[in-house]
Order: sequence, then C-alpha cells, then structure tokens
Amino acid sequence: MKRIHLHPMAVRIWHWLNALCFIVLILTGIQIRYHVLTWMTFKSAVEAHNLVAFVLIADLLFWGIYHVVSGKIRLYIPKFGKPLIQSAVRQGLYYGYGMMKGDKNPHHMTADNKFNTLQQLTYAQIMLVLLPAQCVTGVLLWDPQRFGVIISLVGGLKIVALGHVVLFLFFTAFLFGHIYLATLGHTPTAHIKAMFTGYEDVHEDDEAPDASHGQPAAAHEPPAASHSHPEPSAVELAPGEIHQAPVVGAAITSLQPRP
Amino acid sequence: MLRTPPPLRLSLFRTHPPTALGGNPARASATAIGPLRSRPKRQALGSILAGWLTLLVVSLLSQRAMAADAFSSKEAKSCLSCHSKPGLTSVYKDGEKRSATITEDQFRDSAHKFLPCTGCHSTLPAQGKHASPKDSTREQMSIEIATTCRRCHSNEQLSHNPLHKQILAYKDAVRCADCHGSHNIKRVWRMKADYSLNDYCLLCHRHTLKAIVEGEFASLEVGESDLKTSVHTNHKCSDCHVTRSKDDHPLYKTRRDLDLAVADACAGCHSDKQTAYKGSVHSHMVASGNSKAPVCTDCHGSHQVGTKALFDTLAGVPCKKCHGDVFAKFQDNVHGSARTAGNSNAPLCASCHFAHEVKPAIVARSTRLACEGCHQGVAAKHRTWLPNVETHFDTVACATCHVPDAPRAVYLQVTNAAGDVLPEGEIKKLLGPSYDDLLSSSAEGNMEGPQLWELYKMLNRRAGTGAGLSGTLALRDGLRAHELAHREKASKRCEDCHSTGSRSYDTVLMVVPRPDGTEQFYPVSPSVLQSVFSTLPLKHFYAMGSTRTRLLDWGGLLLGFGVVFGLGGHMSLRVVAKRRLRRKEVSR
Repeated sequence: MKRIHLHPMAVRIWHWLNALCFIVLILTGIQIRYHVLTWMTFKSAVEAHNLVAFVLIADLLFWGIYHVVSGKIRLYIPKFGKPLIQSAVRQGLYYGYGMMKGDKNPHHMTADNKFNTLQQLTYAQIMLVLLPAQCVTGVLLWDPQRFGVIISLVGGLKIVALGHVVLFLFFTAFLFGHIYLATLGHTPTAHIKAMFTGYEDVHEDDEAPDASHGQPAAAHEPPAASHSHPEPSAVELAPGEIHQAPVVGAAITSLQPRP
Repeated sequence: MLRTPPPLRLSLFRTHPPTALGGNPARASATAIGPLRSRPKRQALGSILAGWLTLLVVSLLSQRAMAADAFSSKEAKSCLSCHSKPGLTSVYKDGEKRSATITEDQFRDSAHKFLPCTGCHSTLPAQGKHASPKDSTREQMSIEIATTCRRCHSNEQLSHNPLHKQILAYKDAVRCADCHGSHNIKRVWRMKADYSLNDYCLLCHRHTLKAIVEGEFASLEVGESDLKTSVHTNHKCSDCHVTRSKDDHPLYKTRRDLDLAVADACAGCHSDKQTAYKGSVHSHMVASGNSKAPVCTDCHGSHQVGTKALFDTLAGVPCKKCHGDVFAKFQDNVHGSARTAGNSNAPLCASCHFAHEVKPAIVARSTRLACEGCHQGVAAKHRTWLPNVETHFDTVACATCHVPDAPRAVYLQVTNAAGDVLPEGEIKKLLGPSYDDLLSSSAEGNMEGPQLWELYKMLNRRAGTGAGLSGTLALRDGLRAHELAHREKASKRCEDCHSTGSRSYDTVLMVVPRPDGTEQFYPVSPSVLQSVFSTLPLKHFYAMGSTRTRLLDWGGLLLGFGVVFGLGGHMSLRVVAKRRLRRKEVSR
C-alpha cells in the first residue's frame, strides 16, 4: 500500500463545511416542511436555514473559484463519447457485481484522477447544475418579492418551491448514498479518513496503469509510506497545487480494459 | 272605510255669488259680449268694463253683507260670546291644549266666512253651552270636522285632486284642517300667492301626514326643525323635489321611487359623490332591483341632511341602520374602543369601506386597500420580526392575524395574464358553456385539482399565457373581521399558517365578482392546495410547511425506501460476498 496525497487542504475544508451545511440545511428543511421537532419554531428553522444556506453558497463559490483557478475543475469533466459509456458501464458493473466477486476497482485513484467516471458524472451534475440550482431556487424563495420578476419568468413561486423540494429530496438521498459509497474503500473508513487527512492508501499494483499514462506515481507518494500521517514532502503535491498533467486523458486511459 | 255623510243644506250655498248672479261670471260675460259686437269698439269696451265692475262691486257687497250676516247672526254671537275672548284655551281628553279664541279678522279672511259655526261644528248646538272638548281628543275632533267638510266637498270632488285622492285612501289621514286651517281657510290660489314655496309645501307637510301608497305606509311629515338644522336649509323644496312646484305635485308609486328621484337630484350638485357611489356595491344592488339597497337619503336622511362631522361619530354612523350586527362588533374592537375612549382619529366604517364607493366586503380579504391608509410605515414595523413582509402583505389579509382565533379561508380569484381579477361576465365569455361545468357545478361538490387544472388550461388558451388564479388568506367570516384586536393580541405564531394540518387552509373558496357588486362563492376542495394540479394554476400561492405538494412527499418517501433498500441490499450483498470470498480463500 502506498499513500498518495489526494485531497488538498482547500478541498477538505470545502468538503466538510459543505457537509455540515448540507446536514443543517436538510434538518432545518425537514423542520420547515414537516415541523417534526416541537421545540424548534418554524421561524428559527427558517432563520437557521437561510443563514446556513448563504454559508453554503459562499462555500460553493469558493469551490468554484478554487477549482477553476487551479484547473482542477477538469477532475469533474469526463471525456464524452464512447469511452465514457464504456467506463461508466464498467464502473457500474463493478459496483453492482464485480466488487462482490472480489474484482479490483477498474478505476485507479490518483490526485489528478481521483474520480471514476460515475463519480465524475454525478459530481459534475451536482456541483455544476444541481447545487447551483438549489442555491438559486433557495435564494428566490428567500425573498420572493425582490426576485418576483424572475419567479414569474420561471413559472411562479410554486414551481420554484417544487424544484427546491425535488432537489432537497435528491440531496438527502445523495447524502446517504455518498456516505455509503465512502465506505467502499479498502477499509470502510479509508475514504473518510482520507477526507480528513488528505492522504489515501492505494494498492501498489493499482498505480501501474496510472503511471503508464504519464503520471509518475512516485510523484504522489509520501517520502515514507506508513500508516501514520507523514508531513508532505517537497515533491508531493501541496494543498492547492495546480497540476498541469492531462488529468482527463489519464482518467480515461486508466479505464482501458485490463488484460 | 269612509262614511259618506249626507249633503248639508246650507242657505249660504244657495246665495253663493255665481249662483246669485244666475250662473258663473264667465257665462255672464259671454252673454254680455254677444250683443255688443255690432256696436262701435270703444263703446263696447266701456260696456264690458262697466259690466265687470258692476259684477265685482255687487259680488263684494253681497259677500260682505252675507259675511256680516253670518258673523252677526245669533248663532255666531252666541259662540263668540265665549270664543272671542283672548286667551281662551280648550283642553282635550289627552291633555292637549289649544287656543279656542276666534277673532273676527281671522274669520272674515276665510273662504268659509259665509258658513255659520254649526256649518262645520255640526255636532255642537247653535246656541248655548256645548259639550266639553275634554270628552274627545284633538285628533277625534279633526276627523269629525273633516267628515263634515265632505258634506260639501264630496269624495268625488276631492278625488279630482290626486293628492286628496291618495289621502282619502287612508282613513286617518283625512284631516282637512291640518292643511287648510280651521277658521282662516284660504282658497288655494290665495295660499299659493301668500306663501313662499317652502311654506306652501309645509302647509301640509308640517303635519303628521300619512298615506298608504300601494300598501306601503309612508309618513309625509317634514320636520321644520330638521329643515332648519339641515345643511340644505337655504334650499327650496323643488331643488330636491325637482318635479314639484306650487302648481305641480306628481305622485310616486312608492316611497322608493321618491327616494330614487331625490337621489338623482342630489347628483345635480354632488356629481363627484354620485360617480363614486356608482361604483359601489350599494349602487350595483340598486341597479339589480334590490329595493333595500341604500340610496342617498337612506344614509344622509332626507330633510335633516347633516354635516360630514355628524357622520364622523359613533352615534352618527349611518351604516348601523342596516349593518347593526357588524357595528356591534366594531364598537368593541380596537378601533371602536379607541373612539369610545375619545380618540377622534380612530377609524369608523367609512375609513376602511369608504363612504360612497362602498365595495363588497373585500376589506377582510385585503391589506393595502384600507389598513395602510392610516397605518403608514406598518411594513417597517412588521419587518422587525416578520420575514418577507411584502409577500405576506400581498397574500395575507391584515385581519387574518389581527383577529386571533377567527376561522380562516383561502380565497381564489380568476386573473388574466396581467394579474387583474376577472369578473363573472368575462370569465363566462372566456369559458363559454364550460363555465357552468367548471364553476357552477362545483357548488354541488367541491372543485378538485383536475377541475382546477382544466380551468387553468382553458383560461390560458383563451385569456393568454399567464392567466390563472390568485390566492389570498383571509378570514372565513367577514363579520369577524370587525373584531380587530389590539396589536399585542395579534397572532405572531408562524405555525398558525406554516405547519402540517394548519386550520388556516380548511376552507377554500373561489370568488367570482358579479355585475351587481356582490360576489359568488364556489366551494373548492382544500386538497387542491396540496395537489400537483395546482402547481401552475395557483402559481404564486405557496405557504411553506402547509400547502406543500403531497405528491412530492410520496415521492420523497419512495426515494427514502429506495435508498434504504438499495444501500441496505448492496451492503448485505457485500457482506455475504465477502464471507464467500473469505471461505474460498480459506479453502484454497
């Protein structure tokens, strides 16, 4: 097993803040819609929801700026066309069947290619379409008078609310799916730990395909691989460091059928 | 029924001037003119003048002589021996006192100066003492004398005059002396000449005149004191009663007809008020034939029209005449109590409903229309604690929260693309025969989501994209909107409206404004607020937590099951597969 630096500090801060916001927003959203907790008033639920929503929006903007400026946005963009379908199907088959047989994950995680195709497709939609849409609908509902013209253009307050709730249901389901999938590492907590530490343990033999696509695996290894948390070395990616490597190409080539 | 008294035989009538001359003056002159036509003109003119002069002198002298005869008769002397005394008073059975003094001048000026006293007072003896008036009332005596009047002035003769004919229909109204006087009766032409228009009218109308017009009792009395204190005190009667004069007194079939005619006259000066009134619910009700709907005089009175200040008091509010139940609640509410406490700035009925352009009871369902007129800056005050104030103000009527514990309802109204509420006529025009299917038929059973969707589709097809329904949360009972409480008692609990099972949405009504100013309410199933079918039709009516789309809840539940079973199933498979793999490895 080797340790690679997968999640820069900025991403980790964004992720956990985003997670916290998600949880608070989902809980307050449930309280607003269903008034489950008698001790929490509707008003305080709305106020908390609004406050945290703006933190989430700020966090989303931070994510967007960071990923665009660093070029890491390419992590989220799969290569469209036939290989995309093939790799998506292969990844789906692995999750649904292959992993039960003990097959190896067709995707080999690196700092420049940390998402498999299904993750790319899901996260790209979430981060670039669904979450912004949730933020927009939320802002419209936050002040229907101020955004009355936009609300009318999109079909009325009820449509906006409908969209917001549909997305809320999706994100709630996603949260559970996301947490479950996070347990599919080589140990159930491996991915979760990595999201705290930034380092992920990967099998040595998993690195070969990635290395063959121009990404020297050694470059991502910590100087002394161990299960403790070593300090990043000079050759290792520092948090926020921009990689110029052809990440997408690496991702796609890594999904070529294994002999 | 009136008793027709037998004709009275009076010598005076036999010596009536025209009769004494062997016919009426006109006929006499015509006879005189005929033979003179062949004579020279000047001579003929002189003869005519001389003839008329002679006629006049003879007439005057004979009348004077006859009056002198009547006044100097034994009967008159006997009566006047007591009744000429100044200060003589008659006290009637009911305690009413009236002067019983009769002066010669008074009598000589009367049209009845030829009559002996017993000519009218037929029940009294010609000489000597008579029964005390204490045995009867003034009213009984008036009726008795009126009966005597009609010995000469028969019902047939009186019926030629429409006024008399109308009065004759009501037995107790026939009191000749009320209008014509008693001992100083004047001929009508003299009355017209001697009195101003108003005084001429009051000759009759100052008395307790009554008439039954088509079965409807009507008092025709005009209070002189009312006229004097009225803002119209300097007006002539004919300013308002435009069709009437000293010579013309057309009658109205009903009191209502008179009031409507007077209302038209009011508009002559108060055209601005009439314009405002024309848009009111009252005016629409009048136009639709409602005989109880108020016109000018119903609120302002007829002859006692007061200043605006008079109406601006709890005691002077005219609305309570018809809306007593509403006013009773108003008196106890925050505004009425403030008035009672002496705050003259506290609103009265017209402050919210307006004085002339009275609208249907939509104030209970509106906010900006009335309340903000006085409560300026109220939005800023609400903003200190209420989120989305403007949205709340647009959708929730003030009374909804400011009358705590009153039942609420959602009112839906059909709007065009611009958001204007469509009246019944336009909706019918747009929907055609479908109107009855969609709206009228819903009166039998509540309108459901699919019907609402159908209505929306048709409106959008025919009234343009954007047409739909507006929703307002208000009180179910407009009467209770008058129970406005002090702001400290107003409901501030968001959960009253924003919670599952909130009672605020138990009643949903479709409101269609009708041409007569009233509104038609069609029941709508409360479930439409949670129906996916109302997403577009009710596009702007959304209350978080309560009017949520139920289909989404079911979708969410399904998704939840999917997540639980999907992830749980996957996890179970993983566990099982892992064990199998481990067993395989061990067996190897």
